[in-house]
Amino acid sequence: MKKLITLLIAILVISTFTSCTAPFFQKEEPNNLNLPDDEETTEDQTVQELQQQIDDLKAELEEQKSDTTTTTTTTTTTSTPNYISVSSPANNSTFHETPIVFNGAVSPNTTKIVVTASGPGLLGNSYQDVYTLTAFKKGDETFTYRASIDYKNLAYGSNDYKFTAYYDDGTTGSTNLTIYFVEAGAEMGKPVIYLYPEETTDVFVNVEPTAGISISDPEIGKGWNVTAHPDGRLFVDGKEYPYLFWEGFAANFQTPKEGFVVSKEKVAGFFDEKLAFIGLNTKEIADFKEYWVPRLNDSPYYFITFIPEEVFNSYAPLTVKPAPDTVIRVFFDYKGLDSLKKVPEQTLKSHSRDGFTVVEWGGRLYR
Amino acid sequence: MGRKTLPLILFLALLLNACSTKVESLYPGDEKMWQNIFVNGESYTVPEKPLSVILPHHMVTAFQLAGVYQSLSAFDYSTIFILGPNHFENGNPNIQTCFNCIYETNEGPVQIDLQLAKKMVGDGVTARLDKSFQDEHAIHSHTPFIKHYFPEAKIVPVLFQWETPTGEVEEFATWLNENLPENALVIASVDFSHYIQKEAADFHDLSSLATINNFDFLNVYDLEIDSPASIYALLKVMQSRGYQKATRLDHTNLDDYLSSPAQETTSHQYFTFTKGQITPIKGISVMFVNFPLDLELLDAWHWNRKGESLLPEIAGKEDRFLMGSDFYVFNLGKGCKYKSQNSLTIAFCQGEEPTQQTDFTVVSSGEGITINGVIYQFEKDNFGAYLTEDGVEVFRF
Repeated sequence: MKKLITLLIAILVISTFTSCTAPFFQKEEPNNLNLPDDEETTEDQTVQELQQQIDDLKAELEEQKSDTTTTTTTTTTTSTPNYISVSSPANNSTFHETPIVFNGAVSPNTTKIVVTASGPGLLGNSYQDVYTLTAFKKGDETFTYRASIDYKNLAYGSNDYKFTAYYDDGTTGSTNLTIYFVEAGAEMGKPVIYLYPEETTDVFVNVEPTAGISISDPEIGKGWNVTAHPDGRLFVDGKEYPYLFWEGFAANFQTPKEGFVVSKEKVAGFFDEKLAFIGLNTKEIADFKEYWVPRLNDSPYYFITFIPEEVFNSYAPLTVKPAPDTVIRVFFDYKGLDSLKKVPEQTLKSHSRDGFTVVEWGGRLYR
Repeated sequence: MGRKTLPLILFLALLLNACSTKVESLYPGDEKMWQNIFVNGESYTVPEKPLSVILPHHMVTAFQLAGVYQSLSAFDYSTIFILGPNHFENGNPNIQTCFNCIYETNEGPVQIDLQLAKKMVGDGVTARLDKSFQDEHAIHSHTPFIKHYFPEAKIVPVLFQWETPTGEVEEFATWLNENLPENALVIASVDFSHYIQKEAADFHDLSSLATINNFDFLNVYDLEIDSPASIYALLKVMQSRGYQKATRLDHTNLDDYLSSPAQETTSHQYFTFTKGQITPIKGISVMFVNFPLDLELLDAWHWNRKGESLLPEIAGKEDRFLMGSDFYVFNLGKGCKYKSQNSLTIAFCQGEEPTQQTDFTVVSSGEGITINGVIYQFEKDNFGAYLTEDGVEVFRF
């Protein structure tokens, strides 16, 4: 028996090795390793039995899930009818853009709503996000929830949402739905950094927000080592990127009081004017607007303020080596307003783009 | 065999088995997403069995891809060649294939036709470089569809570098024509226009449509697409086989999926090739570039990958905006120049009328341009509208 095992393993080793080194050797694809061994067979049986149990449990879970995948589920009947429902989007809707806005209704005795979002992710990087709707108060009969990749409550692929209402009688009710978000290849997620050296240069870039980086592309690690070209093209490990992207958190972030109040219709024009004044070029302004203008579309007016660069530097210190001649860091905060409001006007600083120029823009993300 | 030897051999076996290149598709393990795609793809009318197709790999088109594959599933295919761009320019060889790639899908792995892949390498028309395929979406975007609609089919993945010389592509095409098994399908996995607005993309896509439909080999490498070599190889094989009847099933753009126009879009065209002859499309795309340069009339704009120095303001990312037109008019020199494209002859003249018989004449003067006898003045805002009224497709930048 031992001889047989040795022989089989030897064959396995040879055939596997050959598959890596001798391209013309005729063989079957070594996709699966099958060792015909007695012990192995016993182990296989155990594994199979366990797998069967897992599959059964999975099936049971799926069955339970499908039972609850409805847009309206109410719970224990009490004197006040408790309910929660999501009116839009419809269950099993497919989207190509964010944010995805959920609108729903609850009984007025609801004290809080908790949303659990989960999905397997575009590349198998599954996520789960649990969020309590902060704007919701007892007595409200409607609620809104937004999902976006930026908020980490949406991923490409299928996404399951469970909205749980907590009622004042101590019971809960929930409603579930699934939506699909299709990978569209659009560059999402900001802030972004552009580099424009005077000649092709290897540049080290690092950004260290006070409360850490959450996402970066390319992966920041201990900093990006970039080959930057004068026309703005960036290469990291031979791969071209339109810019360096990061998202993170800042501790003790404070919104300036001075700024501008702009009507929703004039937001795009406002950014055209102000960003050009600050020193961004046409391409950077277009990238900025593409990302931010759709996000400032829910309220009739917006208070917009730019974080002074020296303050932003304290929230997210930026290191660039070799040292650039010009650094332009634009970061803004905003708040929706129902009506016009007087605010102290902010004075902005204009930059001329001299020598090796680094440009960064971003804004505060709200859920 | 000693007790110490067995673990060592097992370790070696496992180590060496790691040489297999596991390639995941998008949405791995997301069965609900894939079911959603398969169920909601709307099929197209494909009355005859195609020998090849041109399909995108931009996964915003997942539902269209499902529709095309669903239509193709009416026919029997057992071997599928997928030709696509080497997006990340991995490795040196211009044409590469994979032996040990395991294309995982939710419905099980898609197998490589190892015999064909090895013959292809053995005959010297491709090199084996498995690593290049690890993250290559030109191939793995298609494998879940193939597994779903053709569960028994084996694939042969082939990647082309951007500047693969036509000589090498022709050798490959000759090999493919000679070795194409029965019930084979050839897929050119190609996205069309990139990084420009939809209006400009549509303009470039018209050129691509005419070139592909007309089997205009001289123009393939001037198109604004992400893998001219894949299209070139496919057209060569179809020409050899008499499958020259091109049918465009669909034409989409990223903007079609968005609520507001994007500055940078990707476009997609979906073709089938069936037995038959070419039905020529007549059309010439001309870009009038109102820029003070010494250049006169160019046949094509060749992509300067190191950055466009002449027209950096309008070149766009990767010079895409400047690619994909048949002719570029800057400052026409005195006299007439005659150019032919898509069975049409066009005369570009300054200050004089053409002396030869042409289908189209463009005469430039101080006032503007005269196209087939009609004067269009540059300074007029409705210059483009006049042209459109006269049946000329216009994009103004």
